[in-house]
Amino acid sequence: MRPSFYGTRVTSLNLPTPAVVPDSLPADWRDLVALTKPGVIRLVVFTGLCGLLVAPVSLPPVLAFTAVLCIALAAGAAGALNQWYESDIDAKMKRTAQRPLPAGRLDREVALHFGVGLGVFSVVLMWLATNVLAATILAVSILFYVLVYTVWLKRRTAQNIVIGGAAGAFPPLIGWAAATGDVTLMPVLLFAIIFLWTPPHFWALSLFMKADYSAAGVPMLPVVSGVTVTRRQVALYTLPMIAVAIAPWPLGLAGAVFGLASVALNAVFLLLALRVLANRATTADGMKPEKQLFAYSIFYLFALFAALVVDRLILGATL
Amino acid sequence: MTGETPEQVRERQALHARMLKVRMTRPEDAYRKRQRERSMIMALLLGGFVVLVFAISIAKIKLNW
Repeated sequence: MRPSFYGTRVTSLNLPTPAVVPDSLPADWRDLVALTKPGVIRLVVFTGLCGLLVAPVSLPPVLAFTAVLCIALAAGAAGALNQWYESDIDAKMKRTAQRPLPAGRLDREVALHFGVGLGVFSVVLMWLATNVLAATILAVSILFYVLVYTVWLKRRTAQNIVIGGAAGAFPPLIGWAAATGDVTLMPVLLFAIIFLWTPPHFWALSLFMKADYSAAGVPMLPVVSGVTVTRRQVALYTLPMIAVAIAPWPLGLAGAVFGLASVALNAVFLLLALRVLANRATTADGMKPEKQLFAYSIFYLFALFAALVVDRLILGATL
Repeated sequence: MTGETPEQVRERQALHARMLKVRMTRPEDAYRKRQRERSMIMALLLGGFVVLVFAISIAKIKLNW
């Protein structure tokens, strides 16, 4: 008899039992949502939307909505497949141990089918709603994140996020391509901004999460080369990122609002990166500058792209 | 029910409530509850998809795509 919370009077009940009692419950929809990494999707959707909004051609709202939805679904698919492949690593890291797969709340096969299905669906829907170029770049972005970053690079080299960062840089390119059916200098610059932003962003995180990555055997730069080298790399990669982030203004691709906002945002980024460079702490407790840079880098990307949209849509700067 | 004191009625009602709770926590009930939730979400998603495809078609017709 099953144990009961309610004492002898209730446990004596002879409740009917169905012929087949399943061994495990079906996947909870909340776990499927968690599999898509909703936190990452927010930034991906935002940059994709900005790429779409700053494009010189405007799509009907329903098609624009569908394009952004496809970007979100593709990011979710990539996140799900990433979690499916990395569940062994996730189980070893405090930050990720409670995800549905390492916590045992979800079957691996369900995660794989969910990821593949969502990915295929997003690409086909993007193709039907917009154009083949946007759908192709969307498919490339999923494959790049899963095959190049997750499967190939992440466990092999400390340069994993330098090259793998390209996967997260695709959304503005996709948004632009969805609206125009073309790729020009501006979306390439938007791609480059995120591409060059990724190393300082992730290395700041990996500095104060070094113990976790080390325990999981992931060769992040602080684990392989130490914190001093990583801090130097953070500062070094910040320089080309700043150059590319300001470039649309002098190139005449954005107006003064974007230019001034970009200069201010980049000045703060540089200041925080220099504070990281000057820090000598080796434990997470003393890595306040790294934590500040990581938090600021997220705000930075949101603010930079928002400034571009304001510049383009509200003030009517021509691209 | 006749012949019961108010205290007995309260006790009987409390027992009935506990029995219902026990029924709801059986594995098969939890399984069905989750199935129902998933079915409901799938129905909503499919409905949303149909509406979206319809809206996309209308938008494309207007654009002469």
